[in-house]
Amino acid sequence: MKEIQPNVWMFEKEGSMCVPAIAIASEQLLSLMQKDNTLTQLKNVATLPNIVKHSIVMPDGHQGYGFPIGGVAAFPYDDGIISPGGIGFDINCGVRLIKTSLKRDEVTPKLPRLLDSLFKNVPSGLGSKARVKFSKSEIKELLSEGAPYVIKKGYGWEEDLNFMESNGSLPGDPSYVSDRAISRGAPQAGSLGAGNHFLEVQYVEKVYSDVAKSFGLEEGQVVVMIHTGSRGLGHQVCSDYLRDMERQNPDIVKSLPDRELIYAKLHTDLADHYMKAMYAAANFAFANRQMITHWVRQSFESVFGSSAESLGMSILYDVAHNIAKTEYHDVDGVKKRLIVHRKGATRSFPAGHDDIPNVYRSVGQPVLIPGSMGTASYVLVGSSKAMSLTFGSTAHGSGRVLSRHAVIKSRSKGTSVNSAGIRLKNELENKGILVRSASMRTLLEESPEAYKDIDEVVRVSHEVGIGNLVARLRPMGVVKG
Amino acid sequence: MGYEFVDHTADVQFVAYGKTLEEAFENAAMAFFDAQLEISKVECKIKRTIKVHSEDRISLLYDFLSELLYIQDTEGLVFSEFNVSISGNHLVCEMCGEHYDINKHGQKSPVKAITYHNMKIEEDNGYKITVVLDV
Repeated sequence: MKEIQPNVWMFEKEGSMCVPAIAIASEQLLSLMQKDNTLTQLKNVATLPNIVKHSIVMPDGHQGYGFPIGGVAAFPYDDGIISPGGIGFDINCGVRLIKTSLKRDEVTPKLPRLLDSLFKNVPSGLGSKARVKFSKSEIKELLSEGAPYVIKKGYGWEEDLNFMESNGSLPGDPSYVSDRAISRGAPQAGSLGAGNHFLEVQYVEKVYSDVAKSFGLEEGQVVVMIHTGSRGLGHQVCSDYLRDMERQNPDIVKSLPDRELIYAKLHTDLADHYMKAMYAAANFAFANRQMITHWVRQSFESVFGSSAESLGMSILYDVAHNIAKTEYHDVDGVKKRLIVHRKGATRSFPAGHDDIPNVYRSVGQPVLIPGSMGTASYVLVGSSKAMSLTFGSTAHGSGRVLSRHAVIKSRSKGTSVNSAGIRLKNELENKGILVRSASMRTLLEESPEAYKDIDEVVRVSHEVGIGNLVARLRPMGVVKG
Repeated sequence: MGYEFVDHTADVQFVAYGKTLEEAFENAAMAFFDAQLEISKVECKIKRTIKVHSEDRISLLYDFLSELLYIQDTEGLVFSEFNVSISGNHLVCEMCGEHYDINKHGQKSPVKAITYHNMKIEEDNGYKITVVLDV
């Protein structure tokens, strides 16, 4: 292992690796990766057939299944592979940021009412029932179309589509999504879920560059962040195809260092079906965040007594953190069509790229990086350095360092889980962060100390230049599942 | 000991024991629900029987737990009593539980998927099952 430039560590080819592996990390973050299997998994990915240039792990990388979380890998479109483990269970888990024209001082006095309304309007937590019942045929349309389908149904504005990765719609085909996945998904469309997913009212605490102006952000402004994905539907699609690929390719399973790296060769039926099912699940996630956006706007309308339009509640952007996409990248001076896998990584395209909205094209793509509960979140901007080093990718969040059990044990010493949860809630309130949570235990499990230092993650992204600092967002109110 | 949870940074890992393979599977099912809610508060009100067939023993365990997750997600049912019989790669489980109610059963770590990661069925004076749940 050697540091080929500041915060970029290279692992030379060894054993069955086809290409070198690269970790983007400060010494502090690298030492965290060395504590679990992150780096072994990073090198395992480098053994996959026809992998292009190098396998990469982002500064927030940690151990996952097969691929590390924070893993990025590209394969040639013509003779490459697709691996469900390189995308993850929660397909198109992602983040959306909604702007407002409100200032922090205007929101603070009404925050308790606002959070009550959000908590009521947006279903969250285990077993939460969706507010809308979609029939199976409606779910199939939703899976084919994504966000545009629910906008047609009245959830949001036509123009919202301009501010989403892939305009909120990928070429999904529900015929390749199992009935089981559809049955799991149908009751969950328009729900936040639980665990690390959240809905936060935040304010812009600090602006780092003029790009903030192009994104329509200024200090003191209130914004809303939605962090959720494709729920049970995406998980079922991933599970289904992991099983199918294992069953149909026992020889590949035997050749792999870890069975969860199972893949299908592109342009086989199995790969085509998975891609169409994966994009259908991605569409579910876009639609899910869109429905939640609609209810967020309704909550603001009822609390502030004016329309969402007059409150300036347009979408800044919506990014996918778990996805694989066909993109063109420069490989040794030649423009090549690749399938880029991002598992816990954010696309970070530079100024001038065709795939970013017109309004941002002169500055670059907005990159949204959520912190853990009670810590800062960040807006970054994509860069050309990301194109040359990481196939246009950067970090996606903070990543756990303490197990749920460990954090509960340390927090509830000499008291019950419930009172420890209430104590944490009060601690956050003393810092000016109000919390509404379906479960005190989940709240406790998501304690800020259970996660990596997000400030360090984005500092490394900025210093390496794969995603540059634009603004820091500070939470005011949190809704947790 | 029926089952125990083992520390895992990002997810939930458990080990379930049994004198027989069936008992180990029953304890794995208990652990699956105990990871998510207060299983001692789940009363026997609704009965269900599930049948699973898989290509090998590990897949049988994976498919069995996946079936529990499926019923939980689609019907909102959670269970606390299990009676498993296994013959070759066929499994039948009779179980009893009720509709999930967050106020009654609480919420721990909702399971999103079963994983093959580290999944093991070991035989040594009885059976020992290791499972990692994606939460």
